[in-house]
Amino acid sequence: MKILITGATGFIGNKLMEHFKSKKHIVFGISRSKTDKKIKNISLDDETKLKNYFKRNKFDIVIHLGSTLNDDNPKTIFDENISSLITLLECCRINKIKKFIFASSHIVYGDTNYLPIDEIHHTNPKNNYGIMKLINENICKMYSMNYNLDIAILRISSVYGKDQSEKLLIPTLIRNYLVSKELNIHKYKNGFQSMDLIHIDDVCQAIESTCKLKDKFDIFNIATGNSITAMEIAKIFLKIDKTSKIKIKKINQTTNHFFYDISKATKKLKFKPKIKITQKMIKSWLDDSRIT
Amino acid sequence: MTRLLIFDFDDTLVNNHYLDIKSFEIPYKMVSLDPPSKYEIKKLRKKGKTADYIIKNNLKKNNLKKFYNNIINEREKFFSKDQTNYLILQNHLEKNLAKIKIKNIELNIITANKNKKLVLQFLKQKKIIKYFSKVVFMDDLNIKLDNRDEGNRILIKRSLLYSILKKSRIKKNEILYIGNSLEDFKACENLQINFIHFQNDYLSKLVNNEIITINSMSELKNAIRIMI
Repeated sequence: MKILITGATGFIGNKLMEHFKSKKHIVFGISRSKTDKKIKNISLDDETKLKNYFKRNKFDIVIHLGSTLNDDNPKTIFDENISSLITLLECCRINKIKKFIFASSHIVYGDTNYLPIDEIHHTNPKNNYGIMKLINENICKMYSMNYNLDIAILRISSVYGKDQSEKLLIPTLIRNYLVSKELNIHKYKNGFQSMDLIHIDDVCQAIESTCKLKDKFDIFNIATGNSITAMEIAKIFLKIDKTSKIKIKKINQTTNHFFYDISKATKKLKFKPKIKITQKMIKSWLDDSRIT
Repeated sequence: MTRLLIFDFDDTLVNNHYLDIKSFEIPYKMVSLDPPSKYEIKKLRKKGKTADYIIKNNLKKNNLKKFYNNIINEREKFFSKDQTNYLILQNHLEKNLAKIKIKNIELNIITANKNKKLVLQFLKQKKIIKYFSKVVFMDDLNIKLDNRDEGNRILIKRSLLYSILKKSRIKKNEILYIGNSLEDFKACENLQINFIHFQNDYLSKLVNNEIITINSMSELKNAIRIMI
């Protein structure tokens, strides 16, 4: 298969490129970032350049991971993400792409109405990024209905893995530990937040399975189907080093608990997440962080 | 027409007032302390406070915080044993379940009770398990929320109810839920399911007069008729 990945220099994009290469697929990556010489530097706003790139390469599958995350500037978020999606879908339509996969986010659900959250749970995103993802999902749906494109939407839960952004939970705990051996976690009025953390390798596996899906349009939760709290993760650190301390900061707000129903992905994509957060995994990341 | 009747377990199908009181009395006795008074437990339970809160509050008041872990451990031991003898089946329940079952109405139970073994043992002992085609526990949904504040309790109830709705082919307006608390009502309101309030003087009283309320299970059949 000839696969194009947008946002190829991002955390998921990077790992997905490696994943598909290891499976002997022909993979092309584009990104607006110039950090990786192997990735073609094309901005999704550049319609002419993108159309020529599509014409030259004749892709079978397009996986759209690219997005702008700047939440401080709503205009940029909506302008860039929505117009670039439409440009990309136009290229797919003209070139009769077999499958378009859009990486959405669990953020589209907003407040939790019930657990586990399934794909028909109401969508009421609370931030610009979530609203943008939901608008993009609807644009994808419209393209699938009106222009006969095969599209799959993946609502991906919080992803973790080696080399991910330092702002996220596990890298933050690693940094806390390395600096002071104090693990700072938040306790809300309704307890520790329950989350559904999925390993990057499982996400890659889910995307690969989606490439084989024959449906015209479908939405899937990509998660583990299990909840974990920051406290449970902090306790893993404590098992590794008993001298570390958990520091609980009380937050005078309630938080949203979430974990997802993945039965649809299990049934249609044969998706089964395999990786769990273990002591061994955290220890190896800690050791690597100490070296670097 | 009602085709599915869902019961809440604690304080609706069973009266667990006695069990609740004992679950404080016995652990406190084991560490040679005086338990919170029945009045205090009842007052705090009505406010929706958890056992953990009641114990912490009581120990703090009496300057006995250091005994917290011991009491919690004793409480765990207490619940690890068969305590079904402290549970009381609501009056007139069995007779009315039989009458409802004859009318081809499916019966289910949902419960946020963490003690699955206790609930099932009790239903078997009282020989009423035969009436229910499904009993859904928090564990079955993989929900692990330790904190039981009001928001979380409503979320748990909604999740339990939704798990039945999702698998059932019965329309929402043919489903009726019988519960005793405000969170039961709020969960039904959110999922647009009909609700009957079982008034229970121990744990909760609803303030909304528009809700159909029964004070005894003998009124259940009539209440269902009104709902139709």
